[in-house]
Order: sequence, then C-alpha cells, then structure tokens
Amino acid sequence: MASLAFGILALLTIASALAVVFLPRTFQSAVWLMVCLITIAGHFLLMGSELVAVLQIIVYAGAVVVLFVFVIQLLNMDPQETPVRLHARRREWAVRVAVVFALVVGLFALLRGAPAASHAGPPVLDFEHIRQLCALFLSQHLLAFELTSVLLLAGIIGAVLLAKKEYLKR
Amino acid sequence: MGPTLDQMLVLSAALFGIGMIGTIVRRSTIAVFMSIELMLNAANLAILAFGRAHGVMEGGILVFVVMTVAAVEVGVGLAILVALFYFRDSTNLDEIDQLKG
Repeated sequence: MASLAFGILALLTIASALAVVFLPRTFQSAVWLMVCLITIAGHFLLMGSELVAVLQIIVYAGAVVVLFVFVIQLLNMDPQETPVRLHARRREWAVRVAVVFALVVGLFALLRGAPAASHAGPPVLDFEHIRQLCALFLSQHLLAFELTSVLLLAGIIGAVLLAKKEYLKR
Repeated sequence: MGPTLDQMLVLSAALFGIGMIGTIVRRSTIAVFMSIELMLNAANLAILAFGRAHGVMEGGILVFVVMTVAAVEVGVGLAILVALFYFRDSTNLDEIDQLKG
C-alpha cells in the first residue's frame, strides 16, 4: 500500500518536474513547479516528517511559487500571451473548471473514506515527533536556528535595497 | 513503513538531473531559477531519506535550514531579476553576458 502510494507520487513528481523544465511558457512552468513541490511534500509525509511536509507546502508551494508568478506577471515574461478573453474560450474554461471541481470532490471523498481504513492500524498522526524535533532544534542546534534568522534578515535587506528606485537610478 | 532509502535516492537523483538539465538548456532566467529550486528539493529529499535511514532527527533540521536558504535565495534572486529587467529590458540569459555595471 505504502509502496503504491510512493510509486504514484514519484511518477507525479518526475512528470511535473519534466513539465517545469520543458514547457515553453514560464507561467506554465511555475504552475507545474507548484504541483511538483506539493508531491515532494507528499514524499516527506510518507517518510514520516509531518512538520517538514507542512513547511514545504507553506514556504515552497505557497510563498516561493507566489513570488515566481508575481515576477513573471510583473515583467510580462510571456509576450506571446495575449490577455485571456473569457467569453471567447467559454467552452474550454468550462471543461477546466469541471475537471478541477471533479478532482476536489474526488479528493474530498477519498479523505472522507480514509479514517475508516486507518482505524485498523496505529494512529498515523502523533505530535511527539514534531515536539522532539523542535526541542532538538532549539537546544542542540540553536546556533543554526539563529543563523537562519540572520540570513533571513540579510535577505530582506538585500531584496529591499535591490528593488529601491534610488539604487536602480544610480 | 514507507519508501526505502534506495527508492528515495533514485527519485532524488532523477529530480536533480532534471533540474540540472533545466539550468543548462533554458534561456529564460526565471525558468533557470525554478530548475535550481528543483535541485534543492532533490537534495532535501536525499537529506531526509538519509536521516530516516540512520534513525536521527537532524535530517529534518537540515532540511529546515536548506528551505530557509532557498527562500532567501529566491527573494534576493528575483529582486536582482527585477533590477536587471529595469536596466536591460530583457531577462534572456543569452543577452546578459557581461558583468558591466
């Protein structure tokens, strides 16, 4: 069962990674990058690291992909793209929305069915692992933690400085 | 249970290879950035798989640090990209081939 889940996830990861690299439009690449990062979060979950999986979704699939999409749209990187006229491609959009809706409903049905199946085994989620990880991070590896915050601060200052008009006009 | 170390390492190597191909063949700067993200994620997968195989928790901590580095890298890199676009009106890597201020 676990190996089947791994196989499906691995297939999705490789396929979406190939899509990121080989699709011509950068916006499509960004969307497939999000799919790839979510499947990697699934791998983390399979390996039993819930905290890392959640962080992966928040930091990568959330913040980083949004940043990518923002810059792509800001710099207009796909010049061949014309503004989408919804009414002209109504049928195409209806199919897309229907597919997404079906996927969401299917996922929900799957998740609703899941607890009944997992009652037989031991509980899947236990927060002891997360507690231990955080305790280790804030005691034995405190230096790494603090250095991370310094790095984030340096990154913020650097990004603000680089994007400032006064700096650019120099 | 879950995937074995060998399976994870094969997946990680494949992902890293795809990312490396992307950094080499793509012309758009932002696509190269995305490929670099793929490579970092491949490294994260390998780190966590090794940590689990050795039964230590440090794998998660290392992944956390790598994730922070990647987020900072994206923030600063995209700021550089915006500044570059301001000067050159292009982000095509073939046109940006000199380091003149």
